[in-house]
Amino acid sequence: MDNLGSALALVADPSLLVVVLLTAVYGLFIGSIPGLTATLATALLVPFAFFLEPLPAIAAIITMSAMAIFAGDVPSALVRMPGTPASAAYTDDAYRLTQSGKGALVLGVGLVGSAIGGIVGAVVLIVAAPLLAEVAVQFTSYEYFWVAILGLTAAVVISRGSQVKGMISLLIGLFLSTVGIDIALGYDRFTFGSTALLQGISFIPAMIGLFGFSEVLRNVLHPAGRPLTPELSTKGIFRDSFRTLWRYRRAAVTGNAIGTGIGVLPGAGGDVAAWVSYAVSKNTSKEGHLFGTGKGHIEPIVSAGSSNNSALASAYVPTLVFGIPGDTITAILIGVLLVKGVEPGPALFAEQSPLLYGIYAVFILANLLMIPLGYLTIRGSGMLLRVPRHVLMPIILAFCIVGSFAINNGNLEIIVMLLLGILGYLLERGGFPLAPVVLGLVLGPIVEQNFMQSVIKTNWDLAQFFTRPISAVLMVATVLVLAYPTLARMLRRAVLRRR
Amino acid sequence: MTDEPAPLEAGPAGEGIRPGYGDLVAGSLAVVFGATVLVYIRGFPQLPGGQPGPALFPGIIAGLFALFGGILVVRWFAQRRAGVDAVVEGAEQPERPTTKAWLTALAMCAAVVVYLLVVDLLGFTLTMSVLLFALMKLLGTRTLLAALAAVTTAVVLVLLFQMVLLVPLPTGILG
Repeated sequence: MDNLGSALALVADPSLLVVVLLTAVYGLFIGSIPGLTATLATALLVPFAFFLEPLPAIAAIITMSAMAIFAGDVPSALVRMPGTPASAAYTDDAYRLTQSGKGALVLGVGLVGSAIGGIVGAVVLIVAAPLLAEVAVQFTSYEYFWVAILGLTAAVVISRGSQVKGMISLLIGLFLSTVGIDIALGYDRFTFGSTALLQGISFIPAMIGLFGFSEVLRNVLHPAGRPLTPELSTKGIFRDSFRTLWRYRRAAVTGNAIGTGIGVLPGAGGDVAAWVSYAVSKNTSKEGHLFGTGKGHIEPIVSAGSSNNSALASAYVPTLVFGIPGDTITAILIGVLLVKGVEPGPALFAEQSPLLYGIYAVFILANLLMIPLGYLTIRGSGMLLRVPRHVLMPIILAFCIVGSFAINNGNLEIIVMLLLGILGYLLERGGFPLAPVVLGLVLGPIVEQNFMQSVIKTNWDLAQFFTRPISAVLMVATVLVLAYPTLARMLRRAVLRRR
Repeated sequence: MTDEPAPLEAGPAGEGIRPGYGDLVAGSLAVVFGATVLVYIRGFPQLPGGQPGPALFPGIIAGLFALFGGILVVRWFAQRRAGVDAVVEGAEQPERPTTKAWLTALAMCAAVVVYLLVVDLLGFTLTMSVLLFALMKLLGTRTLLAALAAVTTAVVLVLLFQMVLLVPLPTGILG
C-alpha cells in the first residue's frame, strides 16, 4: 500500500501532469496526420525527454505513444490513410464504414477499444513483470547474453517482410553499435581519428534520423493526395460504442489476448499485433467474409483496434524486466533511460522502486485520459487533416536538427541524423524493415559486453553458455523462435489441407 | 504448367517494393562492406592470451553481412531465372518519385548541410528562419504563410530549447 501511495504521490505531481497532458495532445496531433508514425513522434520527443527526470520522461513516451496509436485510426477512417502503421490492418474496414455513414461509431469503438486495450496491457504488465523479474534476478552475464540474442532473433523473425532483409537491417544496427571504444581493451574502433566518435554513434540522433528525417524524405518523395473529409456526428457516440464492443466482446477479448501476447515478444509491436488480430478474427468470425469488402465490418476494428494498444503496454514487460525492448518505441525508451543512467532490469523490481509504480500509474492515467482527449480529437478531426503538409515537413526537419544538436551540443550528431535519415529512407524503399536496426543498436553493446565478460572470467570456457540451466532454456527458446517461420508454414499447410 | 500465381515462398510478402535491381545492389553492397570490414579489422589488437578481442564482434557481424548479402544476391538471380517478378501480395508499391520530388528531397538534405556550414556565422535564429522559409516556398507555400511559419518556428525553437531546456544554440558572430 505504501508503494501505491508513493506512486500516487509521484503521479499527482503537477509538473508530471503537465507533461502528460502536453504529450497527450502532441501524440494525438502526430498520430492523426497520415504518414507520421508513433515512432517518429517518439524520436522527436526524445530530446525533451532527455532533459526530464526519469519518470516524467517515461510518462511522456507512454502517454504520447498510446494517444498516437489511437489517433492513427482517425485518418484511416476518414481518408483511408492510416495515421500510424498500427492502424493499417483495419483501415479498409474503417473507411468503408465511414463512407456508409458510420464514421463516428468506428472512431468511438476505436477510442474505447484502445483505452480498454491499453488498460488490459497495463494490467498484464503489472502482474507479469514482477513474476518474470524474480526469474531475472538470477541472471548472470550468460543469461543476459542469451536474452539479448533471443531479442535479436525475434526481431528478425517477426519483422514483416523478408527475413534476409530483416537480418541485414539488424546487422546494420549491430555494426553501428561497435563504433567507438571497445569493451575488452578500450581500443577505438572505426572512429577514423574522430574524437567525437569515441563515445560511439549517439543513439538519439540515430533514432531521429532513422524515424524522423527519413519520414520527411518519404513524405516529400511520395506526397499523398489532398484528403477530403466527411462530416461526423458524434451524438451518442459512447453509448453506441459500448454497445458494439459488448456485442463483439469475444472479438475484443481475443484482440486483447493477442495484443498482449505479441507485445511481450521482443521486437514486435502494435502493428504486428493488429495484423495478427485482424487475421484471427477474420478466420474465426461468422461474418469474416464481410471484412474489408462492401460496407466494411466493425468487428476487426473491435479486435485489432484494441489489440494494438494492448501490445503497446505489454511491450514494457521485456523492456522493464530484461532491458530488452518489446518494440521500436520501447527500444527508444531504453536508449533514453540508459543515457539518463537508469538501467532497466530486475533490480528495478527488487528495490520495489517507486519509479516502477509510477510507470504503472502513468499507464492507467494515460489510458483514462485518452477518452476525453480522444473525443475532442474526433470532434476536431476535420481540422487536423487540413494541416498543410508543405508547412509541416520543414518544421519537422527543424526539430530533427535542433533535437539532434541538443543531446551533445555538437554538430556531429546532426551529421549522424542526416546520414541515418537517408539510410532509413533507402532501407524502407528497398523493403528492409527499420525496427531491427534500432534493436541492433540497443542490444549490440549488451550482447558484446555480456559475451566478453563471460568468456574473460572463465578463460574462454564456452560450454558455460549451454550448460547453465536458465541459459539452456533461453537457448532452446532462441532455436524455437528461429524455427518459428518453418513451423508456422507447416501448420498453415496442415490447416489448409484439413479444410 | 498450371496458371497458378507464382508461389509465395519465392519471395515473402513485403519485399521487392520495386521490381528491378534493388536487391542485387543492396546484396552486393552488403557483401563488399562485410569484406572491407573483415580486412580492416585485421589491424585490431588481440587479448593478452591471444584470443580475439575488439575484432571479434565486428568480425562476426562483417561475416554475416557478407553471408546474408550473398543470399540476397543469389536469390535475386534465382528469381530472375524463374521469371518471378519480385512484387508480391502485401508489398507497397509507391509511385516513382518525380524529378521535382527528388530535387525537393535533395533540397531537404542540402538544407541540413547549409545549416551546418553557416549556423556558426549567422546564428541559429537567422539561419533557421531563412532555411525554413526557403524550404516552405520550395514546397509551394504562399509567401506570407511561409514567412510567418518560418519565423515562428525558429523563435519557438529558441524559446523551447534555449530558454526552457538551456541548450546553448549557436548565436553566430553576428548575434
